Amino acid sequence: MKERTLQGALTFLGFVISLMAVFYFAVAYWANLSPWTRLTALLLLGLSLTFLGVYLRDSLIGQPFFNGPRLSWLRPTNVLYLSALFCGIVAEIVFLNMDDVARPVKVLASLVVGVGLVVVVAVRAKKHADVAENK
Amino acid sequence: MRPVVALGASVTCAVLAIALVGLDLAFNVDYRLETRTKDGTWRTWTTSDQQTNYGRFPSMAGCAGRDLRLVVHNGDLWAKDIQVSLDYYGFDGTSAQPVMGTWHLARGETRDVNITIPASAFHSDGTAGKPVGAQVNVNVIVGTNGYLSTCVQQEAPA
Repeated sequence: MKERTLQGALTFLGFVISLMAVFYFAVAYWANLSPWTRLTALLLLGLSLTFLGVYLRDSLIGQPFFNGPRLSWLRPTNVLYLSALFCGIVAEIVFLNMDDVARPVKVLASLVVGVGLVVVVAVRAKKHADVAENK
Repeated sequence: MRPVVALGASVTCAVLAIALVGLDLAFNVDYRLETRTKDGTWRTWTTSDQQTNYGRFPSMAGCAGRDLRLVVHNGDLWAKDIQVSLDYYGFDGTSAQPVMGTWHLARGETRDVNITIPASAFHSDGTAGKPVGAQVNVNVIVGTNGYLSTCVQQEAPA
């Protein structure tokens, strides 16, 4: 297992198969779950994938799957972050389709969460930039 | 964030998600549809565990006049009550969907209902004739928007 490409291909395959298993489970049992369970499970799954990406970021597995400048973006952390992003988008779709929640509440909650995310990320990014500058 | 903390948070979120989904699947609406066979015994025709198969639609000619028993239990985790209905649908191009019955069940309630498919089923004008095929549907409405439905695709037990 010395060849880097083979290592990367097998690792990538492992991630793809695992994510497909999760996706298949979701599709198979989607109809049997209540909307609130779908929403909560998607949010928890998204958070889990994000935290896993953070954990793998500086580890050996966190390296790009394949060598070369064009595929350097294809690494486990980005795959996990994109999967978490997908979970978040589907969770929002589930939330907007819930009949138990009034429409104004849906709009307000979605706006608060969306704008809040942008603001929090911007504030934290600025804080990190200031810290890096002071160093 | 330290890697150990991130790993712990990831595992915690995953475990919570799995537990929540597991609880929702375990505490669900269960039903069993039985039919009386020619020898007079009751046999299970379909249950809520069976996947809906939208394959071919076998002729339900042998179901006209059949006695049915539907046993439903509202064990849903979130819903306060559910609405259950049983209907049949004929594929002769003009059939309506006569509802054989609608029942409301509170949380934890179990209902046992007996109904009979009309002998003249599958024709919208009520006349008997050669049925061209039909399906029996068990419809469950959970809360305000949840909807579970099983189309009984397989032939009824003889």
